[in-house]
Amino acid sequence: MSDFSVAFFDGRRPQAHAARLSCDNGEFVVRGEFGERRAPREAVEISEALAGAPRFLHLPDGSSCEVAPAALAAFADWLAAQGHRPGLVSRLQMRWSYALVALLGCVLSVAAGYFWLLPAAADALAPRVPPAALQMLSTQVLDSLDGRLLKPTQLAAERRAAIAGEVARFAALGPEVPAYRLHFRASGVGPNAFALPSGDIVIFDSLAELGNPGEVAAVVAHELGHVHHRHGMRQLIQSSVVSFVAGLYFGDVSSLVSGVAALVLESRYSRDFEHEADVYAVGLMRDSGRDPRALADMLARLEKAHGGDGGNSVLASHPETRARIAYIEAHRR
Amino acid sequence: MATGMTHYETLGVSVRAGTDEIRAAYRDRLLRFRDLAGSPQAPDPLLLDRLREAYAVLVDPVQRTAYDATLDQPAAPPPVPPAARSSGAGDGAVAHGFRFVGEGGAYFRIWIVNLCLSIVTLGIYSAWAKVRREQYFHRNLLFNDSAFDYHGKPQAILKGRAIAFALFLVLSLAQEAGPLPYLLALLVIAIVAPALLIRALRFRAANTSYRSLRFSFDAAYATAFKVLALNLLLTVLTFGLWFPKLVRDWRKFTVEHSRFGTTAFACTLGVGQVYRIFLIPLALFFVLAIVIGIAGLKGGGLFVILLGIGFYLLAPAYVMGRLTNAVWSSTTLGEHHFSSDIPVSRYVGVALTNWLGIICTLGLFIPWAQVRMARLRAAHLILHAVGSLDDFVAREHEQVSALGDAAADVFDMDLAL
Repeated sequence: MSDFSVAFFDGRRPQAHAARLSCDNGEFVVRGEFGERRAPREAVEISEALAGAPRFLHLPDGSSCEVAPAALAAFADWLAAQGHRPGLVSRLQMRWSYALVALLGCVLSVAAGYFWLLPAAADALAPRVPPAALQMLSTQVLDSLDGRLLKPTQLAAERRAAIAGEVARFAALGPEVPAYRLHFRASGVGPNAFALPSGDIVIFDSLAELGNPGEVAAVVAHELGHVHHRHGMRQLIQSSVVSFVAGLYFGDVSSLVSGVAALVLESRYSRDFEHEADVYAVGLMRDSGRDPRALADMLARLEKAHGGDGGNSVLASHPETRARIAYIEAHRR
Repeated sequence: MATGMTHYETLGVSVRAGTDEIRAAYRDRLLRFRDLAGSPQAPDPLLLDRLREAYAVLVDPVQRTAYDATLDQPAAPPPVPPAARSSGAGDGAVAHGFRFVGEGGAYFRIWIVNLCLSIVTLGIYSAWAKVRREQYFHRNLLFNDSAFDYHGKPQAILKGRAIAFALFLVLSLAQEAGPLPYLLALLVIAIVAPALLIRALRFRAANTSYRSLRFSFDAAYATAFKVLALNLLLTVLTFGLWFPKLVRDWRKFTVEHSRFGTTAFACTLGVGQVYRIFLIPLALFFVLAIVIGIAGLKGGGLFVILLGIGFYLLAPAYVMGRLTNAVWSSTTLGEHHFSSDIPVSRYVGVALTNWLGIICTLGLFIPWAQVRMARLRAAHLILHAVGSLDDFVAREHEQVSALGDAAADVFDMDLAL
């Protein structure tokens, strides 16, 4: 039986011994100046072929044989002649054609995960979060904002009551409308409103003054859409996973790159959510016998108030206002 | 090795001796050397090297012919191993270089196949991917024509990753739950972190070998806690001015508790050295802060951003390059010492082009980037050997869990020696 030239190390000292490796009766045999070592084939660990990297045979007594890079091809042939078959992954790693298939596989599975699996998982998971946890989370957020960005409302009590009355007409529509609580706050950052996962909806004074109570209620209908579809919780789950994965992939390079990548990827999700909330608001307004155009008008005014910066299409958290308005106009009736 | 004796004289054979005769003579001399080794008439330890050298040359027909040719000239220079060159330090040390022989294209194939499998299995296969990555970078690092090896088992890494991921999840949830639970979770992590780091370093070292000898890492929890907790606290209190001291203590700690076989590493890295490395980036930071402040007032938005990004990219690369040199050049292994002389401009250049390549290819350049960096680091690392490199001795090795190792991965701590 043919044998093969390797460097032998005894596991006690880092001294290289020239040796011949052979296979005899189901045993690997190493012979050299040091004498002879034998070990059953299944007890010897043969390190996998990794391109041009030297390969090792680890014997159970801690000694090892090393195959130099120049002898790798001959060694693979010798192993094959002994009936040793490389593993599946090991074979996949050897060819460019498999690498290209793997690249395609990466792109497809990441796309499937991003467009389909993750939203579906978040959708399934979000309703399982206990209401107590949602309430705790939302109270936390509101409390921390109250200290810094938000101030007590300056709005007249009658106006607040009028807006609340308009919103109450949605709630009368039945169980499709989620439980909510309205909060009025003054803020220096321009007209806005947002919904927390618990159903707490915050309306800035500046927004409440942007239209009549019926028009302000249209914006609240949009926010109710976020609550109904559990967008807050779904966004939290999705963006956590996206930034975690981006961190794993780009983490070695820099946290800046992974942060930017996560931001761009997450913004698509929030645009989908804005659209879903618009669809919900249009339905709600039609069902309560009002013209959804009120929402379109408010969107136009909001855009104007923010200086018309809705054109930033990659990072926009609201899709281009014009497209949203067009949708509302098309589905008014 | 300039002893004046020929290899034939060292072994006590004639110039016409056959291979069998040489082999017998070598075995005979070796036995005699070992018998005398512990006695009062112990021979010069260098004799062992001369015996091995003589045998290695004379038993190989090609080398023997070349050697015989040098004997014809009366003042033949002593033979020097091909990979070795004189240190020039005048201490009789012989310089041995490291070589990284991996290639970007080859590593890309391994990387992409394992990445695909990791994605499809929702991350479970990443433990196998990690083992392949470590094996690729260990096995392609050559020293004296032998490669390093990595022995970590994917199952151990997977278990560790599961626990580390759970820790990460708890921390994230605590962060959402409010400041008090978050502080509590941080406190627990601060107490557990030194233990995790020790285990990470142990796992890494214990699963690395060279010529069948394992490395090892062993440190007490209290030592690690002192190095980390006290220095971190002072770093926060001094607004970062203490940071170089933290870096130095940590690097010294990781080196000094490592061994190759039974031989310990030591590190003489000084605090002043590390402060000098941080001096230029720190000064630049203050100058930039002023420039950015002025430009910001004048409305130079893009200029400010570019300047900021430039600093953010260049400063860490500059520090890492110089720190790598400083740490290695102050590291010793028994009587031998290391040196590293990567030109800082090269290091920064490679880091910067890697960064650009990775961004422009959406990450596909990552394998090439890692290989380039490994090549640069290895090409400038030298071990200055005093005497034989064969005299290390193995110690009984133990099984080490991968828990710490995975924690180091998830929390993104740089454990590079």
